[in-house]
Amino acid sequence: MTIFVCTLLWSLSLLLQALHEPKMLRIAHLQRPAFLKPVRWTRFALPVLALMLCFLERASTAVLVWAATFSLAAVLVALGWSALARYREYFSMGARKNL
Amino acid sequence: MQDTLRTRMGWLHAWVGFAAGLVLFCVFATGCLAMFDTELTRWCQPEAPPQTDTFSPRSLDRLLPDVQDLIAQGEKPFITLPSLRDPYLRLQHHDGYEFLTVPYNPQTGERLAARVTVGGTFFYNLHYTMRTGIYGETLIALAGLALLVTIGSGVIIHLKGLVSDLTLLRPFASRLRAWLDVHVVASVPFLPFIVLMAYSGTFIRARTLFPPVSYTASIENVFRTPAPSVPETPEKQPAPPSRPFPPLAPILSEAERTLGTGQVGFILFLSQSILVSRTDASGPLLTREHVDFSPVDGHVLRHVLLPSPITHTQQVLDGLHYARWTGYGMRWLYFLSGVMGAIMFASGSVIFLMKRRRQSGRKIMFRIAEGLAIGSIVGFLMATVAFFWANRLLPIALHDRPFAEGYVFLAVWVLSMVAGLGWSGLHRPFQGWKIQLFCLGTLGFFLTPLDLATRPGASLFHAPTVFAATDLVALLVALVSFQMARRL
Repeated sequence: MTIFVCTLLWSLSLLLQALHEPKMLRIAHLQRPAFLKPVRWTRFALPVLALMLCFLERASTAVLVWAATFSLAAVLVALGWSALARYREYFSMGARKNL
Repeated sequence: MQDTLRTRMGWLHAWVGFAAGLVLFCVFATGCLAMFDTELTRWCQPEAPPQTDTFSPRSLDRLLPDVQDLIAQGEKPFITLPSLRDPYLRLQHHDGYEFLTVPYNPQTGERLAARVTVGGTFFYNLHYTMRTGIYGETLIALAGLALLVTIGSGVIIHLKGLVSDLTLLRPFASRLRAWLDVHVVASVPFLPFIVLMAYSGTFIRARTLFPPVSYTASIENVFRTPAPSVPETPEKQPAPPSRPFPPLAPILSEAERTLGTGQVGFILFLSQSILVSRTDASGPLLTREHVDFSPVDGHVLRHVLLPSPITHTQQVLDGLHYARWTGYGMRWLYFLSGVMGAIMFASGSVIFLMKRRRQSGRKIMFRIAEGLAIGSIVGFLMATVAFFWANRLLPIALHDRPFAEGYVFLAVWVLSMVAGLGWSGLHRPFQGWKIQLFCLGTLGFFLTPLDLATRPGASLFHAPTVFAATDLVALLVALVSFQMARRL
């Protein structure tokens, strides 16, 4: 359960980080969303929350679980983002054809 | 200055990475499989059903005649108690090459009629010795050092984009760009795991790099011819007939009083004592704490726990590397991290070849390098799947069956390596990659039907057991292989 929650928190944090990167936005043909400014510190708070959860479950292995879930979340976000970029590329090509 | 440093690190990263990467790909892939060695042994013995009765300590005494037989042959047998990973009692011994294991009913102590197999421990041995003993261990330890160098240089090269490109993956971009992205996504997020594994693995095998005697003496010893007058001593001396062991149930109960209830992992039988050892699953420290009993009347001889700071450090690093304390969630995370490590080396090797193909593609060294890459990456995976095929298809009554499984693995690997070199030598490397990827995909795809056809009592909708997990992973490997063969 901790692994699942930590992966979710890390995924959210990395997703917010990706939304802050101009290169990532450009690849996915996205504009910077307006809601990002108020939640810009959330991407740093979520990993801390995940670490606290890991410590609460078992202090001796907390850092290991925390690091492993970060890796898993990074792959999930990377795969999701590439799928989104592909979808958006098709979408923008279709729109151009209609014009 | 920075550009110079990056250029130099790029050279170091590419050459050290490629040279050690082909070995390290195998090390990471076997490491992944070794994470589930117990489960793979269960897959390799399909006669033992997934569920069984609960453990009764009285059943241990039923194993004692078989233990006595092994001791009489000069072996050091041990009984592994049932655990969450494996519900069976297992009598195991190391025959000098492999850990051989026989399952028993945990309630009655009856021997199960399961096939003799090397099982998952084959990959465990392959992971750290390459099945060549101390030479293999030294090679792997050197590769571990090369891995640390490659990681350091890789971080320096990629320092600028370490955060911004963390989740950047463009699989539909140009080929080189796509492979570079795969390489970065498979390496940067997994840096903590890869550094941990490289450091702890090299630490565990440090004695091969830093032997307790001087290097000069070690090298002299290698080249020294043995004196002809000294007769060769056999490795195993048959033990004299031993007296019957005392009942094991009271011994287990006494050991649990010291180690804790449910904390006993295995019982090792030696000529002078019976060692009851703490389970490796008890915590992140691999303490191997044990209580020793007399083999005559079963009284406690001593309680052994090494608490010094040095042994404590070793226990932590062993525990983190072997990960036997983990539950299934963490075990799968280790597995995934190992897979990504293997992908990192495979993609790095492909990038190395792609960058040099235009300039050096006709040179003989390049063709050898590409042939070796085909054999080491696709060929290794093909040999692994062939091992599972051999486990199910070789006759059950075959003499030295565990060896035969290993020979099939080796034969497929060598064949793949030769074929890879051949295709590369004929200037048709893509043909080589494609054919081998297609063969790998076919072997992986049909592993599930093979499992269903050769497993007693199998059904298509079986519970999520070790069988389903193994079959699904093979199916996934097959689908990825087909896709790669299609896109090449």
